[in-house]
This record gives sequence, C-alpha cells and structure tokens, in this order.
Amino acid sequence: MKKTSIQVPFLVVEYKKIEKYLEKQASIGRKLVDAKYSSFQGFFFTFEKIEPQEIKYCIDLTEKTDEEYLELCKDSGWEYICSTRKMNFFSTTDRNAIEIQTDLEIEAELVEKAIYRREIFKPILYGIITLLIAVLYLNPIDVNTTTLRLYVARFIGLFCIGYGIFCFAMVIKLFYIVKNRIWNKDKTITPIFRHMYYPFTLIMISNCLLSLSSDSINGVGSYFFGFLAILYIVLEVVNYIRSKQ
Amino acid sequence: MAREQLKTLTEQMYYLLLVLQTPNFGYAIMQEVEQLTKGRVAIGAGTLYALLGRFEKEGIIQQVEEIERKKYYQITTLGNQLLQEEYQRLTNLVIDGREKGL
Repeated sequence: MKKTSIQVPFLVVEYKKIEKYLEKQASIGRKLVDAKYSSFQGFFFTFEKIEPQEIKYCIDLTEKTDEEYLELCKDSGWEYICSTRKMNFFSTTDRNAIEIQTDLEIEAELVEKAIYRREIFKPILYGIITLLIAVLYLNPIDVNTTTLRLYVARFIGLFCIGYGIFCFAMVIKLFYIVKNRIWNKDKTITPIFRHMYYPFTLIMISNCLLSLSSDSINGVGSYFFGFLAILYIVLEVVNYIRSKQ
Repeated sequence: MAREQLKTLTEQMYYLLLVLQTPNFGYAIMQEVEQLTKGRVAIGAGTLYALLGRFEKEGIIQQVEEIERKKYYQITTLGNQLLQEEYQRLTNLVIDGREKGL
C-alpha cells in the first residue's frame, strides 16, 4: 500500500479545521492512517491511497481513554484511527452518525484543558526567552566589541522585542478563543500564528552564531542563550526525525 | 459541590438519568434516549462517557454489574432525588405556562 506523509502546521485549537482538512483529503483519495503531533512542527499525517470518497472525521479531546470509551465510540459508528498528544482521531462513512461530543459545556471544558495544558505553554516560553534576549542585546556591557557585531546585536534585540510582543498577543488570543468559545469558527486563527516557530528558530540560530563567534557581547548571559539555542536546535532536529518515522 | 454544579440538568443529563432508572450500559443508553425522544435528543459517545464518569464520581449513578466487559449503571437514591426535583421544576414551568394562557 502506498503511503504519503504530510506535515501540516495546525494548532491544537484548530482541531475543527483539521477535521475539514482531513475530509478534503479523503475526497481526493487520501485516507488517514496515522497522525503525530510535535509542538515544533505541528501535525504529521500519514495517508493511504484509496478511491476518492466521503469520509467524516472527528477529533475528540477526551483525556482518559479506556476500553469503555473506545467501545462507546465504536458502537456509535466511529472507527478509531489513532491518538496523539491526547487527541483522538475517529472516522466514519455513515453520514448520519451522531457527533462524539453533543454537549457544548463538556466540549468547552475539554478544549480549555487542551489549550491551557498543551498549547499556551509554547508562546509564553518563546515570549519570555525572546524578551530576555532583547534586554541582553540592547544593553551591551562589553564596549570592546566591534561596531558590526554591536549593530547585529541591536538588530536581533529589536526583532526579539517585536517577536516577544507577537507571542504574548498569541497567548491573549488563545485565552480569548477559549473564553468566548469560538474555536470552531473559521477565521479565529490567522495562518501567521501557525508559523510562529520559524522566526523563533531564526532568532535562536543567529543568537547562537553571535554568542559563539569569538568574544561575546554580554558575557555569561549570551553564552547561556547560546547554549539554549544549541539545545533548542538539537531538540528540533531530534523531534523532526522522530516524527518522520 | 455536586449540588452546586448540577442545579438544573441539561436535556441530555435529564434523559440519561431517566433511562438509568433501570440498569443499562453505554450504547444501549444512547439508543434508548434516541428512541424515547424520537431522535430529538442525541447523546454523543464522548459526551456520554464524560457524563457517566462525572455522575458516578458524584454518586448520582453507580455501576451495578459488568457483563461481557460492558459496564451497567443504575441511578442512586441521590440521583433519584435530583431527577424528582428536576421533574418538579419542569412541571412547574408547564403549569405556569398554562396559567398564562399557553
């Protein structure tokens, strides 16, 4: 059986959109067989080639999934596919199958848990790190450094401030979505939020190069962030390799 | 705590308790609710799973037996009390409506 793997940078909060995306894939002959989630790159979906057909997908955020739960879903017509990071993927070809969640109150609780425990951590962490880097690079204490390096440091510093603000805007946005229960609306998340790890990687790489090139700008501080940057890059590479398998 | 959360039951909770007056298991509950309401009220699998877990924790229902890996639940005295109160509340709504000429 021919399989294809596709990386899609969806956020957990967009799970309703993912359902629609998967349904669209089924209509062009790709059936989901496996899903993996990495907080760095988003989702990795593995598809199997089939005849184009209408398949309904449901992603359920129930955390404790035991035999009783899976049996209930199976009995009500939903075929279990896989789970990744406490997101359970189901599919059905029965157009009249009852949705897995029929109570908005309960679904809201599940979404709230999923966002607060898994999604909000990333922008908060990124925001704090970049703002710290900004403080470090905008106040160079080593006056003996070259002018070029100083300008590069200032540039990174300013970029970090912008990015940090962006991260906290995202945190506020996530709170807003959960509080107003608008996660199933189409335009809640602008695609730019999905790609927020790209600039962060860029910051980390430039930070790494700058702090490791001969004398450092800010002594111990930038060595610390240089170390952090290397750690981050290694983690990201490991994550990427792992989700590819 | 339990009473605080469940001052009024949602439709799905009400029908779930109604059906559980006799011991019943997961999927059969879903079907019975659907039959009883002629398809008007449907309880999804995930919602039912969450409700069963919550009600059991709060002592409103209890597991009575397990046959062929299927867990059978039944309403408790506390649950019955809740159901009666809700029934009374709903009856009052209808009576008040009638008095106002509906």
